[in-house]
Amino acid sequence: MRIVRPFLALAALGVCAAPAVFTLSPTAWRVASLFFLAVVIASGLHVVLGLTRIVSLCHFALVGVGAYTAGYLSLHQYTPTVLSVFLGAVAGGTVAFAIAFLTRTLADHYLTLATLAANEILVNVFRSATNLTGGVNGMTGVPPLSLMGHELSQPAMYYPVVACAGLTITFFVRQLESWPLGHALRAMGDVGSQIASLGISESRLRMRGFLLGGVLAGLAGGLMAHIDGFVGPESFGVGYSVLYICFLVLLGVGRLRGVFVTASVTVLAAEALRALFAWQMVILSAAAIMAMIARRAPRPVPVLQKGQGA
Amino acid sequence: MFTQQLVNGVSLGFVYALLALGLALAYSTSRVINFAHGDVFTLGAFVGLGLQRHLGIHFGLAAVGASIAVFLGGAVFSYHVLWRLRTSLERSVSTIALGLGLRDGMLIIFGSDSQSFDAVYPTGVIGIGGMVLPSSLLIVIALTALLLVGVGLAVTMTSIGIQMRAAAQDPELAAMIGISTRNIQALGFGSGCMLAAAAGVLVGPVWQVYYAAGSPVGVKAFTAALLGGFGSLKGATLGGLMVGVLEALLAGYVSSTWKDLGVYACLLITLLLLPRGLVHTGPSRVG
Repeated sequence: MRIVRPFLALAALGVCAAPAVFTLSPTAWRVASLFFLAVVIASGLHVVLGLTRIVSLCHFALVGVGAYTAGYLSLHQYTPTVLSVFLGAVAGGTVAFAIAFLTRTLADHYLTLATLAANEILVNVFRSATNLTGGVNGMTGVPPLSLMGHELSQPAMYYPVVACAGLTITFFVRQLESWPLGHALRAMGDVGSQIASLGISESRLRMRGFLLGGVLAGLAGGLMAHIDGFVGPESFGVGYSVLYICFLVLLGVGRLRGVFVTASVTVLAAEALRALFAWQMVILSAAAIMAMIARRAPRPVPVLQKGQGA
Repeated sequence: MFTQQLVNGVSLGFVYALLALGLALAYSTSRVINFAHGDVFTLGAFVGLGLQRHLGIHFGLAAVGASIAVFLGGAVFSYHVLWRLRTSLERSVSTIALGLGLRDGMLIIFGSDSQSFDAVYPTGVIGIGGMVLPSSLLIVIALTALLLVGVGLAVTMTSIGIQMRAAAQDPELAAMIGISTRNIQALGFGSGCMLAAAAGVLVGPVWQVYYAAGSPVGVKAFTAALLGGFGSLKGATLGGLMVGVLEALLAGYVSSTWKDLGVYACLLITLLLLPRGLVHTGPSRVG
């Protein structure tokens, strides 16, 4: 019941909002779709950062891997769009797994540096492999999603698909937290390499966490490619990963509600407060740092205060 | 052609060495990798540019002023923020957030256009052994080398430098003999930022200054610092020179598009194969 309650609340909210929903403009439908897309991206990062406590700076590059894979398959190989999105998720997961496998001996800052290097390498490949990705100009003309022969080209048409994906993924991640794998991932995040004393391989667990995060990132990328009809390298810079990480930290690392707030603020507030958007990053970074300091308990007072020593 | 590219690489390499030394100073005293290092480099260049243009002061004084201002900023950040955060995740995220805030703050304040210093270095060329080298290139090499030697002497010969090394090797033992770890960490982190700012001002007249210039430079500085083992002047200089020469040769013989990719691949390979660097002086455990 504890797990079902938030979804009942969301369903009730949906029923109440239904009359208003039908009057929405295409822009509002699009913003709502982008919100659920951000939920999928943030859910993947939640698995990596929130559960395993790894600061992954290559999450958006993995979104890019999914987007380019799905876009290329749909545009050049005429693969059905749903299959392309699925294969985009597989590609995101595969690349994430490869990164985790290569960096399995690294920890803390070194691992973060490795994810930064991986992000820069992937973005440079997106820019340089012109034949596959369209280079700096990006890939244009990616067809819209289609289901059973119907093209979902309008925001109101693809919204249900993206919303279903967002809610399903959130439900899955919430369930995951109560499964043995979720507990193991969280335990590894809390105690680090000490988990090896229980006979659990830290590197294998980390690879699973990365794989899950990569699959979700790739899925979001595949959906993004078909919604936008365009995939460009500038959408996958390290700055976006940093933005999401800051929000998740601000809301408390490891809390699933942070996923929804992150998605809300990055998409809805950015649309609503375009005038203030320029300052958003500055305010956000300061807020994230302040939040981390505020959560800290004060340092214990030293036993020997100045002037009290023998 | 090869020798020309080599000199270009050495010039780049000394700049990266200065940045890598800054990263190593901050890491050895605070045990935090400053992910905002590249943005601090750009901030230094902008502060120097502002001092020269708007206050009309001499370039040398502007460079000193910018370095001191950034040193104070870095020291305050370490003293009031990093000291209060105890997990490495929080410390990493705090410097990542600092970089994000600095980059967008600079975009808002200075705009997205590239800016350049007023004429500072002589514009002529000097012929050495059949090579034609811009004098500005040689000046950058000389100034950065001078700074590297100066920092090396300060760390090894002065009392405060010895305290910093003591705190870096064993913070608890250093605290027991009366060294304030918090102050030393602030000093080390601030000095690291100061070196990044100094590098930014020194190359400002040669490179274009724009708000996102520090991102690729920062990654190359990480590569140089890693190659050097995050712990010594010798290592930072060696790492910086290797990265600079690699970048110049890739730009000269392969393509300027792939030069960054080559350096990023070098960073990843170093992390995987030589995580303790070529000149290991740090802790035995990686991470």
